[in-house]
Amino acid sequence: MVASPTRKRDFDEEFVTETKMSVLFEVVLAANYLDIKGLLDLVCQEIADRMENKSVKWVRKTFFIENDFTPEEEEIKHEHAWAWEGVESDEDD
Amino acid sequence: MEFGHFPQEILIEIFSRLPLKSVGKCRCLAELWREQLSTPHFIKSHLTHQNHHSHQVNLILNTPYHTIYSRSSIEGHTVWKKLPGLDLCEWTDIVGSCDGLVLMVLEEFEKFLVNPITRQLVKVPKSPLALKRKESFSMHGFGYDSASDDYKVVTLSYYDSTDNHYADRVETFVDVFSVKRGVWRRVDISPYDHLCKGTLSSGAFVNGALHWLARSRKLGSPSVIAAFNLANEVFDEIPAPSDVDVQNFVFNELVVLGGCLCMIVDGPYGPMDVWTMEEYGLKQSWTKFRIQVDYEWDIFKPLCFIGDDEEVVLVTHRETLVVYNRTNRTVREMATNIGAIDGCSFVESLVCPAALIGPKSENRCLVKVKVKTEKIPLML
Repeated sequence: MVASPTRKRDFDEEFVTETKMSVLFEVVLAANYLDIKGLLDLVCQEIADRMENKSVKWVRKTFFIENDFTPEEEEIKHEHAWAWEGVESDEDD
Repeated sequence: MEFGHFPQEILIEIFSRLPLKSVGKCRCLAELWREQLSTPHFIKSHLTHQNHHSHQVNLILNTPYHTIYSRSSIEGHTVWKKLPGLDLCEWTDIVGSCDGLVLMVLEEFEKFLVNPITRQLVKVPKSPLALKRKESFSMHGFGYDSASDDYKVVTLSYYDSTDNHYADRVETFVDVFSVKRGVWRRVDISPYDHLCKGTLSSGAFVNGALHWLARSRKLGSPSVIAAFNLANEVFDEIPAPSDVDVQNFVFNELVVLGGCLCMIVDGPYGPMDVWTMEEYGLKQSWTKFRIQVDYEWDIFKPLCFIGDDEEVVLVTHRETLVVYNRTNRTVREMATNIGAIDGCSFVESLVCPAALIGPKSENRCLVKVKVKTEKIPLML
């Protein structure tokens, strides 16, 4: 029996919101390799949603990104000062 | 696999879905991200995604105090920001926008391309072909040519003819500036009479072409909608609505609303009719809606739709900004502490004007605008 679109949507919603980031990474790589567009869109959107408005510190921690900027970093932050304007202070979870 | 080593197409898929400001912050993560999130490929992908999914409307205004304000997200929270870096004056013309870049022409005919969100701006080199300012008039348009992946500025100019007898014989020169190559070229003389209009208008960019109202030089001099195609750089004609006066619709205005070409028919004491070409090039697809407001509001021109096209933002002759609700037929004021002489809407994008301007351009002037930083949280 085929699930209704609503049930599929609910399932998708539950799946992505309750999945750990590390598992989402695995799923997105698999979906890309297997060319499953729907799943790829779903998981990419979830990863993006989780990143949105987060601090630079949070993103570095969650995605294991090392800060390799030299003293130039102050310069790049000034160039991108517009990115911090008018935005609510970030969560730092 | 480390996130940084993900296949590029996945990273682009993810980051294209982030709002502009989040991308800006992510560029500050590490050197790899500064690079990855600045490539033309990523910028284009982000823009495409925003165009399809974002409902945010942004406005750039020339205000009575001659400062430009930019607002992101007209619905909900209001954030009007003064845009630094430009000395504006009464004659500043906001020509139009494309892919998040706005073309502005200042009093001395200096042209600037601005990204109002990232605050980057660059001066468009002066044209060696430009007619002398005091002897001529110019109109401009700005758009994107997908065939050559190039942004173009088009200037229509003609000598000021005080001899009315020959006014209809005066030639209008068509000059095109290729942003990629950084050069101006005179491509043609326009086949139309642009002087008849009496007022200067910016070209309305839709479907890869810039549109102006003009008169044909054929018998009877009927009005036409002249469309300058940016790919092949020739004029074509677009059919006008059947119900407008063929002799006189040249005196109307063209604007772009909701991605469609629109003709504004302004009754002197009556309502303003907005004809929208729902399907480009199809005469039968012109549909009309009426803006029925009291004469006192003195509306001048519509700038954009908001709220699922239910409301229209308008500039008035009294230098104010108002919003007309098409369902209730009510009007309310907006940005009362700022006012507006003119403006245009634009999409958010990462497109960097300085990175686009070609190598051959002389008088390149990159103005790096440092935003006054009263308080920037350093998230280290």
